[in-house]
Amino acid sequence: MTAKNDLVLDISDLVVHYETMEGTVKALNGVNMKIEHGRTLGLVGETGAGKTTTALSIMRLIPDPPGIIKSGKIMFEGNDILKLPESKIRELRGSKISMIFQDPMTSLNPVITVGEQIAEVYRVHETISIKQAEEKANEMLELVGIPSQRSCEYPHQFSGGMRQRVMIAIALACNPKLLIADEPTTALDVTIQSQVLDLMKELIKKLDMSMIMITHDLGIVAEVCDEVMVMYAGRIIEQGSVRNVFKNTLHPYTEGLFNSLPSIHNEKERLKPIPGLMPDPIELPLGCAFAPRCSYADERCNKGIPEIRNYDTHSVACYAYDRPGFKLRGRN
Amino acid sequence: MAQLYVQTDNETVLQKRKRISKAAETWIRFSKSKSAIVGMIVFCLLLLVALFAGILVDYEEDVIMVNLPERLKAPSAEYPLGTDGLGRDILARMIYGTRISLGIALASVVFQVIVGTLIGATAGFYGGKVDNVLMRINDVFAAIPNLLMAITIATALGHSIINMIIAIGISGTPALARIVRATVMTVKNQEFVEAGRALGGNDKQIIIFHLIPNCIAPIIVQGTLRIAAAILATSSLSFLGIGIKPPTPEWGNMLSAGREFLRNAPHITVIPGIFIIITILSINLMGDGLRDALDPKLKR
Repeated sequence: MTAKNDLVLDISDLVVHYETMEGTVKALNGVNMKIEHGRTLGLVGETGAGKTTTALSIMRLIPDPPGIIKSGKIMFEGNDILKLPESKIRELRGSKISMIFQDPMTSLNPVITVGEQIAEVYRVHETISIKQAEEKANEMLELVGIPSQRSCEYPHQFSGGMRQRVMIAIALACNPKLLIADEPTTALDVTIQSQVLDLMKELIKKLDMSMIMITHDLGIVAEVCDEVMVMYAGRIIEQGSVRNVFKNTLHPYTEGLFNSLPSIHNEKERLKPIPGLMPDPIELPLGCAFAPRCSYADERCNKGIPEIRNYDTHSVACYAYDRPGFKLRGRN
Repeated sequence: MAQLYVQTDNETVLQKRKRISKAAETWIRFSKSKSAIVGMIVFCLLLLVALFAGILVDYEEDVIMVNLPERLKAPSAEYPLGTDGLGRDILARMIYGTRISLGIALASVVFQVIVGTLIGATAGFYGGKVDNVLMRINDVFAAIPNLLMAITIATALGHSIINMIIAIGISGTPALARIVRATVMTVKNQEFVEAGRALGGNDKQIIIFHLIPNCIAPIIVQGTLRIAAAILATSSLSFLGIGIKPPTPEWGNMLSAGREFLRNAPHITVIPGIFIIITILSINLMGDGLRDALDPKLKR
C-alpha cells in the first residue's frame, strides 16, 4: 500500500462560519488535517479555537442554521463527506466514524437502560435481531470493563467514569475506522481520567482504528497521542509529532501553553499565562490572529496571515522563522 | 476482561433473569404506594366486570326488559341497587353499563395518546414551519370547548359507539399534543439526542428511541386524567341525549333517566354518579402510582 492509501481522513482547506445576529463567526478558517491509519492525533487549543467545530464537521453535524460549511473537502474512504447525501452520511455515523462526547452525564438518555442504548447502535446499522443486539451490547460492556449484568441499569446508577465507559462502548460498537473523542475526560476526576484514557488506548490498538483526541490538556496529549495539532482562532498553527512539538516547540502560542502549566520542579515560580484573550471570532485581525498577544510579533505579523510551513522538525505557521536565526526564548 | 468470552448460554440465562427482575422492580416500586394499589384493584374489578358483563347478566332479560310492576323499588335483597323507572334491575344495568362507559373511555384515550403523541412529537422535533402549521391546527381544535366539540362531532357523524370514541378522542387530542410537544422541545436539545445523531440515527429513530420515552411520564399522567375526563364526557353526552341511546345502558344516560324521579327515588341517579366517581378516583390513583414506578430517576 502506498502512503496515500493509508490515509483515513484527509481534510483540506475547511472553512466553517456561523452566521449569527451579531455577525459572522469565523470558526474555522482553512483547516488542513491528515490522519493515517492506526494513528492518534491530538487537537489542542483553548476554548473557542474551533476544535469541536472541526469534529462536528467531520460528522457533518454542524448545526445549520447558523453553521455553514463555506468551502473545503473532507475525504474519508475516497468520498468527500461534505458532498455525500444525508442518508449515506447517516450510514457512516456511528459505524465508520464515531464520536465520544464531552459530558457523559448528559450524553446518555436518562430513561433508557444502558444495554438498550448500546444495542441501539446495532439496530441502526445492522440487521440483526433484538436478542443478538443485546448479546453484542453485553459483549461491548464487558470489553470496557463493566459486568454485563449491569446492562439493565439506567445511566443515573453509574458513576461518571462508568458512564464514559458506556459512551466508549457505544462509540466502538460497530468497530469504527475513526473515533473522534471530544474532550472525553474533561468531566472526570484525575484517577478516573487515567483509567479511561488507558482503556481507550488499549481498545484503539485492539480494534485497529485511528483517533482524533480533542483536548486542552497537554498531559493527555503526551500520554495518548502520536501527533499533535495546535489550533488557534480556527487555524492550525503548529503540527508535528508529539515528541517534536513538546521538545522543540516552534510557535509562540504553543510555548505560551506550556508556560501556563504548573511545574513540579520549581514550586515558587509563578505561572506565566498568555496575556490577553483570544480575538473575537467575528472580527479576526487582518494579520496573524495571535500577533496581538505575541511577544515576538513585529510589523509584518499584523499585515498578513502566515501559512503553515515545514521548518526543521515539523510544521509551524509563524513569520518569525523568516528572520535569520530566530529562536523562541524557551521554556522554564 | 477475562469475562469477555462468556458462553452465550450463560448470557441468555442472565438476560432472562434480568428481564424478569426489571418488571419485578417496577412492580415493587408501584406496590409501595398503597393508594396506587387500591386504585389498581378497583380498576381491575371494573375491568373484569366489563369483560364478563355478558356472563354476569342476561342482556335481553335483565338489562333492557321492562318490568313496570317492579318500578322505582328501593334497594332490597332482590334488587341490591333497586330498580329504575321502568322496573329494570339497576345492578344489572350498571354491570352492563361498565362495559360501554369504560370501553368508550379507554378507546378514546388510546386514540388521543396515539394521535396526540404523533402530532406533538413531530411538531416539537421539527420546529419551524412544521410546528407552526401543526400547532395552529391544534389551536383551532383546542379553542372549541371540549364538550361542544364532542357534541358537534357526535351530531355530525351520527350516533354510534365508534363515533363517540372519535368525538371524545378528537376533543382531547389538542391538550395531549401540547404536552408532548413541550416535553419534546425540552428534551431535543440535550446532548444525548445529538449523540444519537452521531451514532447514525435518523429522525424517526431519534423520535421513537430518544424523545418519546422521555415523554412517558407526562403522557401517563395526562392519559389517566383523560380516562376520567372521557368517562365524564361519555356520560355527559349520553345525559344530553346525543350519546348512547336508551335502552342500551350507559352510566350517563342512566343518570339522566333518573332525573325525573330524583325526589322519590334518588338512588336511580345517585348510584351511577357514585360509580363514575369511584372509577375516576381509582384510575387517577393508579396513574399516579404508575408514573412514579416507571420513572427511573425516582428509583431507590
